[in-house]
Amino acid sequence: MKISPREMVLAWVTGVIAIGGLTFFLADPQIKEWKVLSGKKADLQREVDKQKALIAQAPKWDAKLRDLKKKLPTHPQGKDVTTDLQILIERLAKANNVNLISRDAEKETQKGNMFEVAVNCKWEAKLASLTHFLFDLQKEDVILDISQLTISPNEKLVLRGGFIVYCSYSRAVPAGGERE
Amino acid sequence: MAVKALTGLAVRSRSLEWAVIHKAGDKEALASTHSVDLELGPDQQNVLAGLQAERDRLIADIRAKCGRVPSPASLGIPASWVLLRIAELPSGDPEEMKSMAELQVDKFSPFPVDESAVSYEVLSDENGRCRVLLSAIRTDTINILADALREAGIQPKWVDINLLGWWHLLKDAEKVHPSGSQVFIILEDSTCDILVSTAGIPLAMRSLSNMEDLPAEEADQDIARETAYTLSSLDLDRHGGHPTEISIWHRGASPEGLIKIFAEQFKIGSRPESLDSLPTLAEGLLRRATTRTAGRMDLAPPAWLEEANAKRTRRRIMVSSILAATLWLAGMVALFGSIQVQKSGIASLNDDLAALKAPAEKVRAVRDRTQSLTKYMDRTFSGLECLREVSDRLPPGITLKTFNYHKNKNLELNGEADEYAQIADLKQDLERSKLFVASSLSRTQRTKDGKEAFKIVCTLPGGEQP
Repeated sequence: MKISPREMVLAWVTGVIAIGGLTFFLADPQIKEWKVLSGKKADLQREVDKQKALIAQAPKWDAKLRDLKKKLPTHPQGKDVTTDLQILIERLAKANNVNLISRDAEKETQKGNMFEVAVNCKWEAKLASLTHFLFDLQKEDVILDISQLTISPNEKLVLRGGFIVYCSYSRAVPAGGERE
Repeated sequence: MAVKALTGLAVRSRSLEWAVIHKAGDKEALASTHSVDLELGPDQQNVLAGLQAERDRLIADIRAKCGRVPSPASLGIPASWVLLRIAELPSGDPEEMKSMAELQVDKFSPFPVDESAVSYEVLSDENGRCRVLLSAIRTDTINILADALREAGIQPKWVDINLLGWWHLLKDAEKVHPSGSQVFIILEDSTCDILVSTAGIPLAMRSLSNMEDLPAEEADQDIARETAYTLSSLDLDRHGGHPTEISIWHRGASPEGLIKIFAEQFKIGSRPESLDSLPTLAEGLLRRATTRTAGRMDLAPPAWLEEANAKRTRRRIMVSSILAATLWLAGMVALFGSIQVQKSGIASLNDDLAALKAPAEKVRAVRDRTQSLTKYMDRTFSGLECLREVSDRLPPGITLKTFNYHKNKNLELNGEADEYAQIADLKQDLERSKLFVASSLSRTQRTKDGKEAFKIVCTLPGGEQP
């Protein structure tokens, strides 16, 4: 059979169209999958980079935490810190003419090898006394932190309110014990 | 730069002669000229007869002696194989000229048109009239020769006439005068070609073959008779007068017998010239092929062109198909391969992530604890600082009722003012404070004693809504 050039060209064009269709049929789902995989890979790569960057910061955070821990007071294991804290608050209040109506100590909480105790107090004082009291609290070597403070005047034109003061500290590690 | 070769191949009765030129861009270089004698049988007068009698042997002989001849080749055939006629026709474009040439050839050719290869060459074109050389040959004749050459590895593309090759060489050698009439007699290869020209333009062409079969004296008589007949048939007075020169181009010894006959029969003398003083016939054909234009002699049957075109199309389609298939396959392999690469990359990243999880968690815990402790120790946004800031910014006429501070969250102020404008001023003033991220006036209310009660909430760093 002899095929003319025109027939050859037509056959070629038909073949190209058929291959184009086949390509679309085969490649389209693959391209979609490739895009999904590509996105997933990029997300994973970002996550890996993030984790690596975080791990690379380990020495910095360790050093910073070490410095901060040096500022925390250390108490022996089993020692009741709540009483000491209440005594301290009472002393500072008296020194600044702040009348503590009530003191309510909460239970000691532990975060890693850090401990925390909160004392909820009701008070009565003039503005200047309160200000000096708060200033003295901040000055104390022990880490005391006022997390809540409410102030409202009463009928006698004396301020009244409450505060919650947190005290953070660490405890001495017993011999042979693990330190985090 | 691609180098193209072109071959001029002169076919003689018993020999082949070819010259090759190599072209690279505008540069041309004549590479070589070769000549081989063919071994024909004793009763075979020329190569055509040989091919009809012993085709395979002769093809093998050509292949062995010629070796590889570069393509394409312009084939020159003896004028004695072709019907030749010079005629005057009106000028026209090549297509018109071809049609007119076919009509003219049909008048004198004994061959049926569909079995003939017809061609023409414009010899001169003046004042809307042109002188053309018409030629015809049986397609079978040319195909017998061309098919054999193709089998022997030679690819003829054009078919020229040897006599035109000589004419080209004569002109190049300035043997053709621009005025007067000349007779050129070319004795070569047992043939005698006669060409009469006036003012450098051919008027008549004749060819006598098989001269070797005749005794020398009889052959000379035949040539002289044919020359006289040719000259008498031409109206030379109209074209430029009687011949001024007869040149006899020959090889080997001078044709004294013929010169003597011419001297007796014509008033002018004849002059012998050696063909060896001219370049080879193959080179003449090659020169014509390199300057080939429309209106040049080409007796190649149209089927050759169609076949060449079909072959070229087939080759292009094949090459483009292979290229397209290769690209397609490469594309598919790349696509499927890249998906596998992606999957393997994802698996590898998942492994990396799993390996990093534990150390990262440990660092995260240290970081969170450090940040929490830092925040804990930071007095910048303490209750005392907030109290100081509010006291500083509290304008006269505003009385605070409550002050509720929540570390890292917000500060809530409730109070009363004489006018609403004072509250708005306080709110704007607090917004300018560096201690607070934002402040909002969430409520105002007129009291029974005519004052404006309000509530302002200032957001502390860390207390922003996510």
